[in-house]
Amino acid sequence: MKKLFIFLFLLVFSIHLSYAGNNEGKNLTKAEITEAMSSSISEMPSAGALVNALTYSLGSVQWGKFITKIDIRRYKSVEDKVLALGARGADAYFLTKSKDTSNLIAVSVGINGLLNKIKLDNKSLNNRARKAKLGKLKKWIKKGRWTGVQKEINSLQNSINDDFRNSNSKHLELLNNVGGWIEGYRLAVEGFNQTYKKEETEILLQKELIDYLLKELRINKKLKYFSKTSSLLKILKDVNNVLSKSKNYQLSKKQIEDLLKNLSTIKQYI
Amino acid sequence: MKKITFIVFAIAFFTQLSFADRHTAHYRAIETANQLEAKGFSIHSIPGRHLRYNHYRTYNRFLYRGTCYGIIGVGDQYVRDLDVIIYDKYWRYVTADTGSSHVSAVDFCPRHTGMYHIRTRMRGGSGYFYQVIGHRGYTPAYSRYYY
Repeated sequence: MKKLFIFLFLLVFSIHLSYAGNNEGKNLTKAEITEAMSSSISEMPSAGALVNALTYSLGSVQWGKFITKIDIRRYKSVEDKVLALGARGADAYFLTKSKDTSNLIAVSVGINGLLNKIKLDNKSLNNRARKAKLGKLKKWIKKGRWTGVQKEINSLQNSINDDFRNSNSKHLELLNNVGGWIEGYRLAVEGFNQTYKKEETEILLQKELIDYLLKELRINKKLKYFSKTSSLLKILKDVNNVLSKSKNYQLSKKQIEDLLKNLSTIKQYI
Repeated sequence: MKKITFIVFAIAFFTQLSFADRHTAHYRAIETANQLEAKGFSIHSIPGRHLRYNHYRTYNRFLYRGTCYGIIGVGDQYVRDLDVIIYDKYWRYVTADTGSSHVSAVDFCPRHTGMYHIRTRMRGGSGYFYQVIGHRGYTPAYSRYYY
């Protein structure tokens, strides 16, 4: 009798296990959502994905005219340099899409200069392997091998973030991401300001992402002492305020102009 | 009898854990990333971790309309069945690959820009997995939208 009971218990338990997680094709329950929200991890999108989407929405855009010149001497702290590095990474993605050789070479020279000046544990971020990569990148830009260029920018950005993570400088990884996101978003808004397509403005409704960046910037202890943190928070909050007024998942031309006004502050820092 | 059963189960459990091979999973993920790149995808990131049977990991990602994403979960040699399921920002099911293999692949072109939840679930075995995510431009001839 006891054996039979144990056998039945194991049988029922194993059937339950095999069905417990089998909810593909169905929406989650409230309890499952609450549990999933607490354990899930947010990751930043790539500027490359944004520019792909913009090409689909706006067609071909000459992004070079919206990009400011780099002056490496103006960046004082490591944080300043990393913020600018993130932004210039986004510039590089956009310029690759518009196949803008001259501006892309200027940006890659700027990135090289920034990497030379950023030091982690007294070592320059521009190690030998990275210098070789940048050399290859420049060669490919000149030859117009755009797929390879995009791949190199991608791998460069990922490896830089890996270095920040491995040297216990997560605040720098965050700044790199914030700089990249704000600059990429500014360029997207510039694109919509030039060619306004109301039905395509949904791509700018990135409230969840802004909320995530705001939260990360606020809780990061090391960034409390960075002079630009309050300005970055203000830019993000102002953008969020404009987005919260959107109707039917669309933005009006006036709202695009307001976004541009809020975002132009970033040009002083990059 | 009970003790023996417990010991056998404990040995089986810990053996499976200790043999879980992160390097194999990572190597497979890099190979998968290379194959995706050869098909015109740009690889964004390759996060990974250990998962036990019937456990899952969810990554929140902001995906853009007008871009297509190749999302692939790759497991090590102790993973028998790995699923990738995509939910929208309201946690509504969008699409999935629930085939019985240590590799699951979803080619996904979102109809709406927004946050998506990408869940990898261990449906058979136990071990390390990596999630390879690549993106490419939307081309109507080769892509279809998902709601």
